[in-house]
Amino acid sequence: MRNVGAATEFDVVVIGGGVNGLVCAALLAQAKRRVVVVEAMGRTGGACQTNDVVAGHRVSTFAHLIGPLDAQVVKALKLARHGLNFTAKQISTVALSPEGRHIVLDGDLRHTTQSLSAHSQNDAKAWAPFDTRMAKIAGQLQRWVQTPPGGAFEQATRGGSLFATRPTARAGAALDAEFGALLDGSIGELLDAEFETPLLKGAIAFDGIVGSAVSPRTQGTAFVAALRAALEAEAPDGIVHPQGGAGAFASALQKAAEAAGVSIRLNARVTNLLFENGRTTGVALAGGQAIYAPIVVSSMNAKATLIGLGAERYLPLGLKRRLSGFRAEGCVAKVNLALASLPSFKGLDKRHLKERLLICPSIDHLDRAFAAYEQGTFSPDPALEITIPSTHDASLATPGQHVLSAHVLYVPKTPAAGAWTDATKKDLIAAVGSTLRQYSPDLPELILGADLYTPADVESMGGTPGGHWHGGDLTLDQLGPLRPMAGMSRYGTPIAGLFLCGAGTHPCGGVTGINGRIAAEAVLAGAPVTA
Amino acid sequence: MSDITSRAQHPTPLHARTAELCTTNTWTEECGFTIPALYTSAREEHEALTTRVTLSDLSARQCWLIEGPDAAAFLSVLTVSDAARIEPGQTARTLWCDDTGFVRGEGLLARFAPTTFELSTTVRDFAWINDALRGFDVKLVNATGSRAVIGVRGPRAQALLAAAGLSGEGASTGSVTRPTWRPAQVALMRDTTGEGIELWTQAEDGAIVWDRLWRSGASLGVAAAGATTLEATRIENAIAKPAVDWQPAHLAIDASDMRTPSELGFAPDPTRKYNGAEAARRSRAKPQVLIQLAAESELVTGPITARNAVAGKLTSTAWSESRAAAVALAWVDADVAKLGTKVAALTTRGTTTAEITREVFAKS
Repeated sequence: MRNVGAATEFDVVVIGGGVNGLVCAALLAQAKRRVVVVEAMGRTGGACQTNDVVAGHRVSTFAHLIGPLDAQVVKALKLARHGLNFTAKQISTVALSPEGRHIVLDGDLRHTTQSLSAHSQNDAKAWAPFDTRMAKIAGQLQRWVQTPPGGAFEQATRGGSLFATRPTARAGAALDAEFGALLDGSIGELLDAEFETPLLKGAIAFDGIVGSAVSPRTQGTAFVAALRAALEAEAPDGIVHPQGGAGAFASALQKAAEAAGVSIRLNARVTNLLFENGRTTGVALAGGQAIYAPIVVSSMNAKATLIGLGAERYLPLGLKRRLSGFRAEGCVAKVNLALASLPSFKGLDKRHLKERLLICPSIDHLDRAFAAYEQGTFSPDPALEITIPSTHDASLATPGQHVLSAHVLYVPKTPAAGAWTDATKKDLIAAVGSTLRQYSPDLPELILGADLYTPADVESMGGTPGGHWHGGDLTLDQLGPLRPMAGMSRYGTPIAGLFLCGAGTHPCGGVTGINGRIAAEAVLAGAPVTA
Repeated sequence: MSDITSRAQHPTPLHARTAELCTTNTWTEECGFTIPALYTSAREEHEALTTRVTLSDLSARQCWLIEGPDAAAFLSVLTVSDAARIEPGQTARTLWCDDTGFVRGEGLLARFAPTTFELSTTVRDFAWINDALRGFDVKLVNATGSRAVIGVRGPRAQALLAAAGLSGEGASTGSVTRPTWRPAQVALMRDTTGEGIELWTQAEDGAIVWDRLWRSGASLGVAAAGATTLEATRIENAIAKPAVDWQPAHLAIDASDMRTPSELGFAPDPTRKYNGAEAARRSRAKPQVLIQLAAESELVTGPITARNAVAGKLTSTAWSESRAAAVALAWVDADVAKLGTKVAALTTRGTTTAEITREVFAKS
């Protein structure tokens, strides 16, 4: 038994070497803390990996777009010095039309208006004021996503303005009204009131979902779309693609962490937390080894950490019930394709193939896919978010050949008919292929190899509990001061010495590094337990 | 099979007996069960209770068995009581709180064996407690409906137990006795008011024990007392009732109706770490005190005023046959809670003056 009060080798144990775990660890090490990262898998990166589809064709295995990266993280960790190099920045969105009348959403008013004109003059006119309004709200939310929740939301609930930094009271009141509408409504309702083009509405609605098990008609999805816009507004490079894929980003982070003095232990699965008098004192590993430290920071979600690692006995009793209701089951699958050559999409300029391509022709299309998910299956015509990173990153495929990566919505972690089988996986790949064929008739014939990762695979192979991209659904009851749940939104937990830093914390998931950075600040500040 | 946890109303294990005696055919619902409101008349039942002996059906309650190696450890976190210090055969009135230190429920905690406890209560909270078990090697069994509980009250209560063969050497409150006339266990428990005896048996033995008591008590003038009479007695005796005089934290609509353990007269060991303890110790900005009121005319629940300002809330009221006056329980601001203070309380026709006669949780 450990000698109570004895000096420990480390000041902090970080559970999980994913993006936020590495960011948190590196920043703590830079602040002169002795930090060890324990990672269950044989490599770091979590959902950021690059692997072969077939020999000579490499692609980001799970997460395929990086960012919007936290500017403070990029600066503090000097990631460029550790090999991070982007082959694409400010990646835009193109809403693909089966008829080739695509809509380009690249932040350039002229481009978007022009492409919208082909669909609706009304929408072309309505776009600029809508875009301006959303940008204003996103601008105001920027400060909120950058700091632990509590301040702005508390202010709002006390009857004050949500926006402490408003330029004038009048402008603030107007923004509050806009914000209220976002909270009250769904992205579907918001868009129906503004536009008439189904393709435009489908594309924007997609960003109100971003990996959560909700319909575009679910309350709060409008706020999530604004949240995503706020995150993008913060990042100078926007959405980026690192040379070598997501795995290269993880590699740069690992090097930055190690340069800061972080010790990294791979294949070190934490079986449970260690406690003394209700306070955490370290972790026990699967091999029987223990690592002691007065602070433990977990990048797993709250439920996986507190229930999965044996902390239940030390939790407030009501919290156990609330934790069991935390929704962190993934609903997005990943399909990676090796292609014999560059596919063509009807009516799409080749220069747009480096962008984020969305197949989501309408809100109803997304809603139907969600309805199938709710029945425990997937739509035969799923919504897709596609990248073809080999168009700008030659390191990923042999010359002339390409790789395509697609997120597939919605896909159950466990189908109603039972666990995933080779047959059901083939069915899903076929559904994706069939959908792609509507937009790129030649594409299915170009496929040299395909990998499918269901949410269950994301959990087991990506080391992401629940297989959720965001560490938990982005819904109003799991956001802001309620993320992961009331009383734990400021990165501390009810257990002394135990903190959270993963995607399941404020502000949300995605590959941003914000969670890890704010969690490190909270640890250094001796974060209060309650929000 | 019916779901005992549903909102449907169920007969108690003693229903066949109480139905025979309930000449008024007036019934009330308690904790999901139907029980007689009045068997005969308020006056007759009150007289029997205060001068002779009465039997009551107290089976309308939730009963939860807590079993396992960690039972005492779990209950010591769940409740304000140090369950490890309750000896087998003993009982303790206890409370349990939510994470913010407000009381969710109150009940009688009985220890039957080193690793076996039973919590009986009128507050429905099984699902929450079941979720709270995580991390403890303990099992929670909903035994609601499987227990017959007979209340024995009145000055001849002990005489009745003796006549029925349920008293004698070793048969004290909180003990479990095995009567010679039936190979069944009957547990004698101090009831939650502390003024009567409860006999706990398995449901199937309930009618047998009731019959035995009824026959044995014939010469003692035994009568049945219904819920209305017991309610009046409760208010006369200044016993607070959950969901009436205070709201369980998970059911309260108005946060001011929630109570901390100290407001309910509990002073747990400050070093103990029961659920919500730290939050409960943070005193309320304006704590209230439960008092008993008396008035000449019948009162109704609602606000009460003192010095032309709202001073509290009247939560339960009854007509006291023995005092020939209305009695009531009310929460008032601490500065108002002095014996003899006059307040204005609502009646069916307006307001009347009522006098504070007792501070319910006053330290004696």
